[in-house]
Amino acid sequence: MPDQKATPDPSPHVPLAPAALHIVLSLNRGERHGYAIMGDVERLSDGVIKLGPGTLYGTIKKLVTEGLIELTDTRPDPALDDQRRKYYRLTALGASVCAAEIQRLANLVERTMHPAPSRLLGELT
Amino acid sequence: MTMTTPGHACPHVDRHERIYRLLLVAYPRQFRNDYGEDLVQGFRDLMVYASDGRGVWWRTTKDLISNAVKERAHRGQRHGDHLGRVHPDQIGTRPSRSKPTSSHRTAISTTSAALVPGVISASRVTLMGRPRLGRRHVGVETYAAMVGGDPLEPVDRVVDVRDRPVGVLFVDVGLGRKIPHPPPDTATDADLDQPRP
Repeated sequence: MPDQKATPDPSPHVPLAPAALHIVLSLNRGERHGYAIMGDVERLSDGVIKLGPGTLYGTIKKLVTEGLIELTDTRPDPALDDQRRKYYRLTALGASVCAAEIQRLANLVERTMHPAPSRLLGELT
Repeated sequence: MTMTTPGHACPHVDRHERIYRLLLVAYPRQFRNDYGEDLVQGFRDLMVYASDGRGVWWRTTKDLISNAVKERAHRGQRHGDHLGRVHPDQIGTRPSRSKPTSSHRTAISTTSAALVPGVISASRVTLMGRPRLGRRHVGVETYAAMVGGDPLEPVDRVVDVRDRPVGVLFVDVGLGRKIPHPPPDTATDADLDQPRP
């Protein structure tokens, strides 16, 4: 029997609040420190969401408490980065929640752009 | 792993950073202890890479105010939840000038204990925590005496005693266990700080 770890159930954590969602989406692209997350979120949202340090670390605290993200020990070359920075990454649960959120949003967009025929008929009658 | 170049320390950033560090007192102490340095680091990075320092301050100040309020409200809520389950018997008191020990007895006027139905308003107990008993001030620190394994009483059994002086509630300092009530008229200053046999 293959040694397979069960995928953590994301349902208690879905849907995420906007700031948490963007941070999780950012970390889904790789480990990042706080400032990199801020920049990434700004880019991902076309500048609509600009996280300040308080929102960022308030949300990070919540995500760490819920086990969706964690601190990582890996550090880049000291010559290339400020050693005071902390790097975060998604946990297995965080990755599962991220996938569930992406799927949920994709379904939402799909249903909004292409409503089911039965619903259209219902609206006509 | 995403990397950016290290933040360059320069005098103007240091000055802004010092001001921001002072403003962090708006956050609860626990949050500051856990994330204070990260917040400063985030601010420093924003300042270093920003073209407009005023823009960073505008963004950071809005962020600081809203999140400090949120963190404090969250902390107050947790504190309230915690104390909301505490029976009045478990409100501990201690005189300000004495080392709290389990053998030390003190009293708190129930009129000062601000017990509200549904919620024991711990903050009010704290705010009103220097009840004048006779001519003495007793410095009172309330705390949730979670020692002992007895299940806590449901909160809805707590009655509002703020407007009804019903005497003096005696509690064991440090343990939060109730000492049998004496009749109200026997509660005098002499009862205060009296070592238990």
